[in-house]
Amino acid sequence: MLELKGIFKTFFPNTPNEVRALRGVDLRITPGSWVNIIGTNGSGKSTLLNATAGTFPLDQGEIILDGNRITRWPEHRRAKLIGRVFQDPFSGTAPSMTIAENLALAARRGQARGLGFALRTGWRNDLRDRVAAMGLGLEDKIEKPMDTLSGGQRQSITLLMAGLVRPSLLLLDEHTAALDPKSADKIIELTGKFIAENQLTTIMVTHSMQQAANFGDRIIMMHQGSICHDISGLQKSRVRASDLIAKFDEVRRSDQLDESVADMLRSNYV
Amino acid sequence: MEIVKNSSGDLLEMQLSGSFDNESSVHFRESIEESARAGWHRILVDLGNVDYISSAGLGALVAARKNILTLNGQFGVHNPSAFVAKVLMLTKLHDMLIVAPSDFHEFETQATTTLDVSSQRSARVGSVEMEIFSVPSTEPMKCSIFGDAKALQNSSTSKSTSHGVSFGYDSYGLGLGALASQSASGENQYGELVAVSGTVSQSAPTSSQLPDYSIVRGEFTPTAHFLYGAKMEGHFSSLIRFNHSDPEARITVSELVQCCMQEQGIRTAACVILADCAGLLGAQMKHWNIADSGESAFSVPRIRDWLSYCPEHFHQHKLALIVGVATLDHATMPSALQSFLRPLSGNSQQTGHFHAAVFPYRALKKRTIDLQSFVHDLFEESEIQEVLHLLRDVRPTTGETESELQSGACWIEPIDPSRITEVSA
Ligand SMILES: Nc1ncnc2c1ncn2[C@@H]1O[C@H](COP(=O)(O)OP(=O)(O)OP(=O)(O)O)[C@@H](O)[C@H]1O
Ligand SMILES: [Mg+2]
Repeated sequence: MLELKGIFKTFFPNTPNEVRALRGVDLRITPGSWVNIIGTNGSGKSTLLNATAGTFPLDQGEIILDGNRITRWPEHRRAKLIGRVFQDPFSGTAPSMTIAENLALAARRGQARGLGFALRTGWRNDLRDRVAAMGLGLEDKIEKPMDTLSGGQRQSITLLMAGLVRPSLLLLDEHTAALDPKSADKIIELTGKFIAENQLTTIMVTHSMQQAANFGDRIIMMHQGSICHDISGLQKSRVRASDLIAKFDEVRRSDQLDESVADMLRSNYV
Repeated sequence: MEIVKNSSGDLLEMQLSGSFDNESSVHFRESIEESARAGWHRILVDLGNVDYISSAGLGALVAARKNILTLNGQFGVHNPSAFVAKVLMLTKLHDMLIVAPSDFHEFETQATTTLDVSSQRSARVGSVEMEIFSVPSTEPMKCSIFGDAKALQNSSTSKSTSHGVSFGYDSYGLGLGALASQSASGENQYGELVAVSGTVSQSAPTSSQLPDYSIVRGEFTPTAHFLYGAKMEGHFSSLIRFNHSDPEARITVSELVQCCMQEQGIRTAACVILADCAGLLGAQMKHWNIADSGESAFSVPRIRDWLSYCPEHFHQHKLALIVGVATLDHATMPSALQSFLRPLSGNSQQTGHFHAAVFPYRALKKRTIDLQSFVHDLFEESEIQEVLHLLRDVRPTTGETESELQSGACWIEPIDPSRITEVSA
């Protein structure tokens, strides 16, 4: 269970560059559920994930994960509970280390043992099995360095790394956005399978309305640092990509309602 | 496939050449729709240069015939090439589609009217061309005003009292309110309302949802729960078909109503308009929370929560069903009606209030239209898309804009000032 209560975050406060990135976000995510976050550029989606992962301190608010009040925990401490995959396939892994070594590093997260322990034969076979289970034929490459893999292959390894120790929470930030359409489809399918098998509580940021509609069991739409739509249950199962696009149009229309329009409406409406 | 159009009188001839396949059938359908919209309801298609036709092409011809016939028009094909003639024979579509051009011309005088029209004449006010069909007027309409728009806007504490108003066949109305007296959640889901001839529609709380509606059926008569609104009862004795003298130009709703009132010599009018839209400009209430109302409700960003308005013209080439009231005697109107009415243009004393329901495009047949059956068919066969409170957007920075129409029909009737009643809270 993840609980975000009254989260506020302003970057560069009291300067001309002030950005009120999060303006009072409340969100409760039940264990094992998969929430998709959509919203226009700059609406605060990544900032919300970063706030949860502990990239920066909050201005206000409380974060509770599986009963732990993690609000003041540093990022590395939260990393034991939280797995992350970013948009950039080149982030989050050590490029010159082998796939096996990268996976071992991830497995070791939160444990004080050396790398050697993780790379013992038993582990190795286990890792090979897990990589093979993804069905990408990467099991024969686990001794190759990460930087010999394609973007899609890397994202699948990063995903595997993020889920290796079965985190309390998996955060995916546009993790298929930098991939070609075919690889993106492959990775999102893999993501779905992976989340279901491990029953991971997941937040996925995506700009693909198709992904948002077809995967997960809840959709949150963000706008100007707050949640403007929350679609779940039956409503979520019925939602089509076109409905979500219509919601974007609605937001765009509402943004055009500025002071001058409001003044006109004050005298012309009602 | 190439389509060349030629007209003589009110007959449009379409000469097709090339291959009439699925790809071309899309082009053909669009061309037929465009022609019908431009007022061509007698269409003859020459298939002499069509060397191939697929089932998609045949389907497009059958659909075109059906569409034109529903407009009381005429549609037929002639002069088929050898290949097309063979296909028409084999598919048994020959008798349905083929006409002899000579026969086709003979139908010309067969104009149809469904309404008993006692008089018909043409008129022109400014650049609006009108054809007026009228029946003897029985008596002017009566009008009831429910609630008070101004009072509602200024009230911050008053309980939301709504007025249940039933809308049978001979009634027309518009206002702010709800179809349901109380929603399941206990919170009233208010919106913009439009009532015409036994139908009432209400805007949805967001533009991505569809409006709801209720229609007279058997013993059932729909009820609108007005926070404020107007109901007009009676018969329309005049139907005015209108278009702009320049087919490229548009007519604003205000301009149309002013022209129709002037032509008919009406000072206070009820009207219903069916029109091909050039673009609508309107607002929709998403929900109304009385406790939150008052002046600050119109501040940004609060206003975005409860009111939806975008300063862009929408719904080009859709069909609009508009209902409204307008008067030249604003100063002598009852106060509740006064606060319901807005200036129709900057340089006139005329005031009015109009709401519109929007449907996918449908061509309107020529001459007279039976409003009641047209509207009931519309709800049955089509899908209502939006309900709007039409606005004249006047801002110092952008000037003045409002909803614009291409052509259509306007039913208009005087309202008897002595039969205007106010039903306040
Ligand atoms: N670390 C930071 N320092 C300063 N400003 C930031 C920082 N992170 C985000 N912002 C600003 O906060 C706002 C929200 O950004 P955020 O990255 O959360 O948007 P987003 O919804 O993820 O958009 P996108 O779809 O483009 O990824 C933006 O205006 C951004 O410039
Ligand atoms: Mg982002």
